[in-house]
Amino acid sequence: MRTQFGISALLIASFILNGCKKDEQEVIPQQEIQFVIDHSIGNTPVNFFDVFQNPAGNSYKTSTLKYILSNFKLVKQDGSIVNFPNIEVVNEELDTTKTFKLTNVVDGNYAALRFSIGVDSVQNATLVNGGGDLDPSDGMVWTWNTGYIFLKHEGQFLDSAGIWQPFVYHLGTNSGYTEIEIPLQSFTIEGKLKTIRLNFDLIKAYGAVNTLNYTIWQNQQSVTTADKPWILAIKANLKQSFAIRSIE
Amino acid sequence: MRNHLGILCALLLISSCAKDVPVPEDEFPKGPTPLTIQTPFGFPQLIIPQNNPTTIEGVALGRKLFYDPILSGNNAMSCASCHAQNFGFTDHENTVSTGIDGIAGTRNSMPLFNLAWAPALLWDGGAADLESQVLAPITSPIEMHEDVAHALDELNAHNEYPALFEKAFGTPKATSFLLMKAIAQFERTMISADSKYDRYMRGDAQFSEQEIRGMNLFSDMNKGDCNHCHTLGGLFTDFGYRNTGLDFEYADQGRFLITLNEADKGKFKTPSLRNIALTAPYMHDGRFTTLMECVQHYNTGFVVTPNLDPALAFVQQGRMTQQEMEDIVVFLHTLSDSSFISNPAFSAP
Repeated sequence: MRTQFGISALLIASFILNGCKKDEQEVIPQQEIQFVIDHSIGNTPVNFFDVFQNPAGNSYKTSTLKYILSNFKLVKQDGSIVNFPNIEVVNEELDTTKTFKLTNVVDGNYAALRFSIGVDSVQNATLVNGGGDLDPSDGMVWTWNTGYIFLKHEGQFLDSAGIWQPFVYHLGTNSGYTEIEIPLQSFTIEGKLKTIRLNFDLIKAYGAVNTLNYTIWQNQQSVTTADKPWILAIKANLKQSFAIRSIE
Repeated sequence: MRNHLGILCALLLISSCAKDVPVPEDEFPKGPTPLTIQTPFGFPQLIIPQNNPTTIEGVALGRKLFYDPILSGNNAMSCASCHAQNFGFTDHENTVSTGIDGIAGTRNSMPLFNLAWAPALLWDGGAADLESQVLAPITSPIEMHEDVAHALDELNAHNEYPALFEKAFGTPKATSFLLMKAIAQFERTMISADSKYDRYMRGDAQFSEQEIRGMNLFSDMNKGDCNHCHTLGGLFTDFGYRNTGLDFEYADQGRFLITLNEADKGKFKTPSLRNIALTAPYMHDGRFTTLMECVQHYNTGFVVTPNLDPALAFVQQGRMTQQEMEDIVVFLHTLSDSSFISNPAFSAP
């Protein structure tokens, strides 16, 4: 009888310990990576009041620069991938949107950072399941053709007659979903918060691979047949437009 | 005794480490009341999306929002302004609707019923689901022309809505998602399934000889052949997109605007024929005033375009007599559901 009690108590205790194990696992070091994003035109920070030149030679001013980043992944040296649920809407005008964290980053050696501009086709199929920062009230959606606007760059440029003309670039639709990979050099997470400073360079967005001229492509909203070549052109550029300034 | 002690120890241990043990049931806050929508006789099984279960409080909120001009830019136009119950939730026999800025649209206001079964909304299927569709007319610059964030601010500052959102969704704060969900819930309850045709099928009403002739012609592949797309019974639509040979040149490219597929030029969604006698004028642009004009179009009026629907490409023009067309029109009148258009559950709260 006593032994029976002893055994059952042990069993119960072990069940309970198992039940509590979750708490123990949380002790395993899991760090945060803080991202700080800056927008530049070459070496100069984007400023909405200043006139810049794109690689095609158009003089332009920016009035909106806003985009969605999602599907963050860290690729370990051994090739395994760690996924993060973040969906971040980054808005040049709002500093708070330019800083965000990936949490539950496990220690290890990482070889690459991946993320996407826009949301994947599953997320893009409805406006009602928004995760992360997604919210149809912030203007990054098409309501008559269900889907998210992945990137908005709007402003004015000087046309050949010297007149300021609007340009509107809205990247979206599943074909506009842009996956980006940035190789990392000897990036080790070891028990400390890391800050990754990430730069988005508009010079590259308009000329890294294909030179985009606002005179030719002035109002591109991803929703007509004429936008198809533009989507491919800017997508190729965007893949090259992000760079890590530093990891601290 | 020892066993009891063991159990007691175990209980103590369990309670010591389990932070998430549910509180006793009577301490739960009372959530919204689930509402089961019955699938009507002869309809496909109704499937409610898991992310938006229908509740009595959600439907009540959605109904209030549907009738509230607070969702338009100048607080003068509600969903109901262009979707009037008496007209099968269409726009008072207007060819196209005019928004808050006095700008006319290009398409005829679509009827609203049996939307719970629709795989996509709008004439071109551009809205992927009922929830996503909600924002389309609210934000359209030629319709309600409202900024969603502004509408939400107004709802959150309102003296009634926070309590209604709390009841429906457990949070007083209106968000775009909850706004979409509430209106979609109300729309899912808008079921029309009690026309004379339905009562006839249930054995509760008699058809005249002409109505029976019309029903038979409706399905006759060599005559009306309406059944091909406006599936007889249940929903009276296959929800497909079709080019019905209205024009050689497309003023509105329809489904193509969404898919950018050449083959979709001039295609529009097959509308349900239920309540069709109440929802004039007809076609995506409201070009036909009467049902007879519509039947005539499918008899002799359609033009052969590259994208013409195969169902029309193979029918003979002029295959119906005047009498046969009249019979079909008489049958179409049996699809009017007077209990639907007078149902107080769908009227202004």
